[in-house]
Amino acid sequence: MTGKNRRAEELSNIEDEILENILATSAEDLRAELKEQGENPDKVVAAVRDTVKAALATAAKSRLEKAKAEFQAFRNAPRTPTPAPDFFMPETMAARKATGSSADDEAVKRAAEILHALEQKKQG
Amino acid sequence: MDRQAKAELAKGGADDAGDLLSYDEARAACEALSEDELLKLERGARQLAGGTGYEPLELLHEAIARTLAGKRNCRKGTNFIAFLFMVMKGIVSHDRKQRNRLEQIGDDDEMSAAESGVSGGPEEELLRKAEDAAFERLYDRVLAALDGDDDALLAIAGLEEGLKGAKLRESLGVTQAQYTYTMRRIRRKVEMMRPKEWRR
Repeated sequence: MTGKNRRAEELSNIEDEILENILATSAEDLRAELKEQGENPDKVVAAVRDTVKAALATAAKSRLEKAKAEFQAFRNAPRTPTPAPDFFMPETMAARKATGSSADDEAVKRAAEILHALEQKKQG
Repeated sequence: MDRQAKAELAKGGADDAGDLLSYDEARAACEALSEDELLKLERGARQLAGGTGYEPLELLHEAIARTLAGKRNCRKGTNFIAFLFMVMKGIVSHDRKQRNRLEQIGDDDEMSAAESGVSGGPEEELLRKAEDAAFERLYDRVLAALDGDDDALLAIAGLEEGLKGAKLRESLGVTQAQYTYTMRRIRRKVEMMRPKEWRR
């Protein structure tokens, strides 16, 4: 791996200072520059705004398609046999008895956990 | 350039995802851009797109798309315009490099070069030398474009010494307003050189 070319570094520094200069230049001056170049600043602003809107729309569409694909993949994934709920196991029954919770309580809790996991998977 | 924006991109991400703008926050930042900020983005995109395959607004679109896709992350509190400048700079840097290499290799080998990535070996060394020569020529053209503007040439000399921003201004012994004006002249000259000449 060779080091970065010295001139490349200097040109990059020039570019950085140019960008810094744009940040430091007032909007009034930038508008004047555009007029000097024969452009209408308002039209330029409108074009940039349209570009930003288009980029936002593209990103939203992309996210939706990704979410759909993930949800479809989740639905199509082969299901592994669900093991018997562990609250039927004798030791769990003993623990349940100790805490005073019913089998129904445990089943509801377990179902809520599964639903939560599915929801998270869906949201990616 | 905004130091935090540059450092953030160089690092490739923050230590804590909570320090970064979320999708919704980045989206809100885009939606909140003022007219003045949109103008600055256009000026920056125009500067950066020269000598690449991108139109300025196409480049800006790509930078926003990469940000919202989470491929580039903006740390909270960073100047969002400066951040987008750095994203665009990264995109064009890669694009220019590819274009220069493909030009040096020749059209016949375009596909194989692009596919192989041309890494390592004597071919890589030759390409690197050709690329270095291209940088040298571009630098000379920048100097030639500024011929006669002593303040601008002094500023370029300072940059060559590794000075930037406030340090460069102090070394030149000028006020902030004078420095901004000098850099503006450099910016305008470089902008006039593009898009054909700003190749690396």
